Amino acid sequence: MVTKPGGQKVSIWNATASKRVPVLDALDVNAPFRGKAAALARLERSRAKSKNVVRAFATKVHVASIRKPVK
Amino acid sequence: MHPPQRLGFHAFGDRDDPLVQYEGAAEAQTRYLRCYLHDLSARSLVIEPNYFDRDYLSEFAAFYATSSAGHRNICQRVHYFSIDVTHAMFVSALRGEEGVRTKVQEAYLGHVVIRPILGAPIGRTVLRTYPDEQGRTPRMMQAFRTYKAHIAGLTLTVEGLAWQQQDEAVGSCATVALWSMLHSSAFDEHHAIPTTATITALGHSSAPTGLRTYPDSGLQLPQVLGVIKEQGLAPLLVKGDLEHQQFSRVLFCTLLGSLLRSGYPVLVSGFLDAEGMDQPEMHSVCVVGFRSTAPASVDDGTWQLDDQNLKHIYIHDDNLGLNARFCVRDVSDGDPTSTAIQLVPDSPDPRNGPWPCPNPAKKFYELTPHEMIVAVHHELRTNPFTLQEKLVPFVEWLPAALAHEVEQQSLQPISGDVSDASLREEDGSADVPVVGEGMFATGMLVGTRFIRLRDYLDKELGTLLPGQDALLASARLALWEEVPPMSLYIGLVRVSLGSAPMVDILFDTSDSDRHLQPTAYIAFHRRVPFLLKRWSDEVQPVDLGILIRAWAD
Repeated sequence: MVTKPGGQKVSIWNATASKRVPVLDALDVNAPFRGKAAALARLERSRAKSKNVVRAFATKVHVASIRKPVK
Repeated sequence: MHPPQRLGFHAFGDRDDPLVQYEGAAEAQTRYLRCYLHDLSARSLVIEPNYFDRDYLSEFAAFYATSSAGHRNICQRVHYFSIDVTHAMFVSALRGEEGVRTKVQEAYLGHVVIRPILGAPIGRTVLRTYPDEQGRTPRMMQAFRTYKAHIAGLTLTVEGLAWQQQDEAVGSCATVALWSMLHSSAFDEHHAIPTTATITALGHSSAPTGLRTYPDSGLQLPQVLGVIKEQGLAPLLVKGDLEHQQFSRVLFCTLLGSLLRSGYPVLVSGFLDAEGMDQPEMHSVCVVGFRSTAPASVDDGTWQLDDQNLKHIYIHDDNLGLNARFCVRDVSDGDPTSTAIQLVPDSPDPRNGPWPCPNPAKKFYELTPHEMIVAVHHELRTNPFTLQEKLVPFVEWLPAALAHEVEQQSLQPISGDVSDASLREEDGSADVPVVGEGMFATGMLVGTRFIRLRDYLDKELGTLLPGQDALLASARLALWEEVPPMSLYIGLVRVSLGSAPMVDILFDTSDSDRHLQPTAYIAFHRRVPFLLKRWSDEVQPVDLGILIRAWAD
């Protein structure tokens, strides 16, 4: 979380688009693409890290099975 | 006929304050409200001794009118102020003295309706929140609406979401939680807000249980869902994902964040264990907001859902009061996808010296959530858990592609690439992270919410691109002219590096989940489409729909 000058508070939902993003600005668009296998391996590592999150969101919802009174 | 009576002007907390008078009838609620108002710097109150309350009249017609106890059909309404509002000051305001009116409005903290029911006197209550402290992460209360109170020609307004104590005759905790939920500003253009009596009657007609309607025996979940449908809205139900139907932190917090940011309060049901209870019982509360957290540090090349580290949420609990701060507590240490959570009251310390009475929020109390129920617009045909499940192939490529390019091109930050120090928070996190062992950070946060298409074009893009009028206009026009017609409500997925937005991906929500896929994407940096093309051409194809350019040259 960032506090901009003037006290404005910033999250990903009220941030402004940055004109300058150093890591993106530094990319060489003319550099040849290399390392497809490494890229796929990186993606697999990312997927392994997020698989439990995905599993949590795949929770099925069975309305009819729930009939507990709520007081 | 009810006799006419004069308005009452009193000091906050004196013996004429109804919250003091009725302490014996509703100890927890009156004490909580007194502590809450004390923290809001309440100094005075104005009592309307004769006030016809729409909700109470409905309860009266449904139940109390035929009681031999001879209940009255009229309430009191008590208005609280952070200054000493005297009779003379009030008369000045009624005369139209603008300065006095402004002063009274600025000091207005909200109101409490006092029902003539001895066992459950606290009726519709709307109070403002504590000031959102500067320099901290913002509090999110999207569902709040503006309530107007008219007293002798003086109109006072307060932002909040209505709460009341359950009376056990017409409404249970689920009824009251549903009632608060249906007050959300998200439904402003949609429908009239039902009373608690209407909710209970709808529950019993939409999903009959054979039990009597009044006195209320508590709503079952299918009845809660039925009431939502009867209101012309669509119910969503999510069960806990862990053993015994408990919620993991990641599911509970990210769903809650997504729904509340969309303006939908969340009814949470679960088992309550509290001081004085023999054994845990089912209970329902309405979650109305949360304190957002600092963007998490994410491993390079990977992504993480925003909001999963929520610490504090704000709850309307009929056992306690409104906007009660609860802590989302992990039951044990461990992976946020496998550790169950509980909700426990965690009121901040007193803001204005010692509280005037014991604060019931400080007693032992823990709620273990098992279900989340939400009312959404029926035009919205998907839900946040499906969106968060399906978004993976559309977001995972970006941090992976960026990390891959950084590695292949051996990119390192140079002096001056570190974000402006003035943009850094106390904890050292940065708007655009470039730190970490001399390498660029490439892990990204992914947030989701639902939003009206028109609000995305108007408010959201306006927030993202301030002071860039030409760019804003061209992005808006491109979304209108170059993208196939989109649904009334869109699923918005934002991918951010730190808090800096990289891309917004828009999902149409008017079809079945089988067809849930992006319609368009708004790139906020020119290298985003470059990375997408490289990844699609060289690694694996990703289709985000129509590109909308929203970067400054």
